[in-house]
Amino acid sequence: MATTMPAANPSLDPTRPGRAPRPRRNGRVRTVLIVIALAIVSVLIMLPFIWMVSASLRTQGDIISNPESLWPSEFTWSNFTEIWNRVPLARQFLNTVIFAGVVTVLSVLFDSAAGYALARFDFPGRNIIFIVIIVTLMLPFQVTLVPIYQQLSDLGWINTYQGLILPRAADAFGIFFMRQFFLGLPKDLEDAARIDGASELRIWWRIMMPLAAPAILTIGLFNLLANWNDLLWPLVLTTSTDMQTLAAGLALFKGQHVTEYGVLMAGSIIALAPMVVAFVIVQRRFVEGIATTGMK
Amino acid sequence: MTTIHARPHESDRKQPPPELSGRVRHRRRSRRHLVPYYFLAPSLVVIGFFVLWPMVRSLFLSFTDSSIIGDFDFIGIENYVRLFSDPAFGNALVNTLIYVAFATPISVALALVLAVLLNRALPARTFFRAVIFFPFVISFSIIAIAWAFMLDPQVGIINYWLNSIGVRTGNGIGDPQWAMVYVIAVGIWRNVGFFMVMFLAGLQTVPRELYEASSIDGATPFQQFRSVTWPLISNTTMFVVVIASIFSFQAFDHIYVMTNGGPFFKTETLVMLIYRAGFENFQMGYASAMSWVLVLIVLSLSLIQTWYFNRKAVTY
Amino acid sequence: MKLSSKSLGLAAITLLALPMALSACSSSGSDSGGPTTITFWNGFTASDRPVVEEIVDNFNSSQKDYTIDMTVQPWDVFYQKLLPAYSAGEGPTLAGFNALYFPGYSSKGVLEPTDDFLAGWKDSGSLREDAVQATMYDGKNYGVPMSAASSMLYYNKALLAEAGITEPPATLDELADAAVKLTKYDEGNPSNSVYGLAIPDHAAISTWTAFMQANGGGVVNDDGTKSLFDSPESIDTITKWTDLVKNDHISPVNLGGVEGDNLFTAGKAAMYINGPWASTGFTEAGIDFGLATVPEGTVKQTATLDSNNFGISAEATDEEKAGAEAFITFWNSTDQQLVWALGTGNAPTRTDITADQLAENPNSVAFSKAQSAQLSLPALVDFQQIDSEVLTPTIQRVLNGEGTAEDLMTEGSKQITSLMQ
Repeated sequence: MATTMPAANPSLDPTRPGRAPRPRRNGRVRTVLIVIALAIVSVLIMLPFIWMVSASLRTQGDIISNPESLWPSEFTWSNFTEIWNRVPLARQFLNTVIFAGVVTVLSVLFDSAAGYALARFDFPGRNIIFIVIIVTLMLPFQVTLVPIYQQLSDLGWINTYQGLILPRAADAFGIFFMRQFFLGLPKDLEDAARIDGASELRIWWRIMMPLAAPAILTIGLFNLLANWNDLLWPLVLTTSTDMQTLAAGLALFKGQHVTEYGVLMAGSIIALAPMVVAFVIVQRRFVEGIATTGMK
Repeated sequence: MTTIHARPHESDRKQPPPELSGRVRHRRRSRRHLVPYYFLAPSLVVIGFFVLWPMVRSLFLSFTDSSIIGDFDFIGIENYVRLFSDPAFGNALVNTLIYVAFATPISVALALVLAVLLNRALPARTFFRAVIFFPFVISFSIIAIAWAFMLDPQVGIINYWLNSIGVRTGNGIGDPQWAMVYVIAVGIWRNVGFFMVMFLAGLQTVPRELYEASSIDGATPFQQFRSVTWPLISNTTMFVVVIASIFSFQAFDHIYVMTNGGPFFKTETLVMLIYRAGFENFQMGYASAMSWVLVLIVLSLSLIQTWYFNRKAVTY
Repeated sequence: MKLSSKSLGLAAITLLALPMALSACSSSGSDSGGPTTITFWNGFTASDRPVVEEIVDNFNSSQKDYTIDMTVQPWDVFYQKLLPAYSAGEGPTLAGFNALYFPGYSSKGVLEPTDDFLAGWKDSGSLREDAVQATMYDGKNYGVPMSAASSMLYYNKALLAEAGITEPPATLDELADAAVKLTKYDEGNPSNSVYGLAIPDHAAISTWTAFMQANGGGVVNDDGTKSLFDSPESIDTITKWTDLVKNDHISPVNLGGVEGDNLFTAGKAAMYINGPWASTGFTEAGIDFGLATVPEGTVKQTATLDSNNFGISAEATDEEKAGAEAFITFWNSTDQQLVWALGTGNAPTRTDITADQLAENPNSVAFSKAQSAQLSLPALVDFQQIDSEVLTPTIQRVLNGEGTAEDLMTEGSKQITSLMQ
């Protein structure tokens, strides 16, 4: 990587301690304009969520008789209280934590291992395996639903946790992502450890994985999000009410003819909250995290 | 300048110390050859058993007239021949291509612009990043219900506001000419934040000195982007473009909720048709055949995209 | 935040162990000697669900032989799962779903014929005849009524009074005139408009079909042997009513069921033909509405029958079958039908319940009076294909000016004929 000589203009010298160079007048005007533009974009993006919050605080009658207004004609908390009576929210919450949590932990482990192998080793079949894995992203779930349902039924795994979790324990997107990351790490990183006689497993776990921490956080978050919100898979695999997830519970408020908007949105906000928390926690490391994802 | 001492790793990697016997040498080498397979094993077992096997089964079903339950017959390539002359398939293919042709470039471009903007030191930068990513945090089916209500042509709040500022939305999402536009817009809304985060990562790897050097040379921000940023993030761009295309081809959830493929199939994409053929018309064999044609199309496109970006790859 | 591998490992193990612990705790199926578990699937989500659950609880606590284990899920998931489940042997003993779908399942042999049960059951004569007949297929009956209703004409009393209309229309011609009179269409701003009669063309019961049937036409004849879609009566009816929509704007175009409901609850539609499920929502929205029977056409007065029926799995054991039949009997008993009707605003399945008994819920009273109705399509295996590939798109095309009713319906009729073979 080429390094430049210190700039002639001291205020542009990156090595000089102190504040970042002050933007010129044009730069500041431009910054203000950009911020304004971003603010407008933000409001537009958040529109459905604003509606969601508004709906959760209104009665059904209010929502459907005044659809063109965002402001509740009468504030009410009843949606938030009613949802606890209508579905076993606590149990569903637990099920979702288990389902999404275990899947995330397992898939982060398995995907990292697989991505590591595909990136750092040269072995016969490497490219074929990679392509086959990517192809699994391309077939719509609708046509694999019946075969996999049959398969799990043959195993006796319908309505069980293992049936819900194991098929999701590894996924192509995670493998693809981790492979890209490991590709970007310096080439001979493992060699010093190999000389010292460390086992491959130890190298992976003690050296590579800590380096991959940000990428792991990222793929962990994506996985968590995807499985936390997944509706079809848990609904298809489970029939008993004590195995239902949050998404399944929420789906019960959408009827064929009538949707109970207020309760549905209140429930969604409750279900959303942990994901927002997770996102905020990870956010810090997030971007810097993916920064080293070897997108080089 | 030549070095006097040989780099220790080079020689040791190829040959173990000579005092080890030949048998140990052989064992070490064969053990190392198996290592990647060990690492791949858990994923391959899970994917092989629970993803690939059902895929193979669906490939098999595509050569039959399976209707989910009961006996079915092997009918060779009849399903594949049929879909070439099926107007429903042609319609869905065209709709899907339109969707992909607009949703993918627009969402990728928007994501890139936002990433570049949010890469500089801006006030409230973290807030903006969080907001733009937010659509990805919630279940798409549920927020699509909110969208459908807000876009109701007669009573929806968005139509109401647009009409009151003079924009005639007409029949909105119920208009055959416009339904696809709305569906594409919501699809973009959903994914832009996700792609933006990917781009932000790639942008972090561009050395700041390069920007500063080009500033000194008098480059405008646009020129900087073209000659510094764009070439250096080509690997990120490739990843995002491939993933974005795959996502676009699979568009289903929001279309199902918002238009259900209507009016009269104007927004019926391939996956919508596959769903309808398989679960409403009970023609699972035919649905499987259509799915595999979809896989071929997406795979070809991904290979082309990868080839294109590899040609332009920047290596150090 | 640095996590030591130890604490990470501990967390991982706990998470992984939880499911196993919970599996041990969760309820298992029936143990020998206890009550037989009857699995029951249906799609009655939203506001109907608490009422269904109440009846199931009543049944479970009223006797010790059987326990109903009910799973409610959204209809689209229900239909996606049902056939794969039957195919894998995981299907429910009892399923409650729309009669229109029955032929598809009956033809695949997953349902048990109910003729014997109906013959031996004293109550079967007290149920709505059309709901009982709705699940006939190939000479046998495969279902028992669960919830059946005719559509009715909802009208906004205030809007009608404003336009000087004192009585709801009794004939289709009167309906057309009233609709035109009640429409106030604002070209520049359609969301400002008030529509005379909201007529959805998809994701709703088909009012178009009801009109055709009232005038002597229809989509398919009652035997399911011949297409009526290109009959002059059908074409004339559709031509007349699509012209009213296109030219007089009595309804928005490309309206879905949900949008139709939204229009009425926002006070933007003066009249609307729909089933009883909408009544609670309309009341909550504060609309002062009246209910009238669907106006009669030139040939007869008819409305659309929406019937959900019970189906018993062909794989059910004798014990399970007995339990399913016990529940069906219980469900259709007078007491439980009162719970059902009063709780949902629906009409009871029984014809021997008087208006007095239903007085608490005037909507139930009104809907129980509307008896003359028919299914939009008779028992056909391919009903979904006919509906989504011919009926709905054809109407939508005519409404969007993509062709005349005559041309498109003649074309559509050919498609229907080929689908029926």
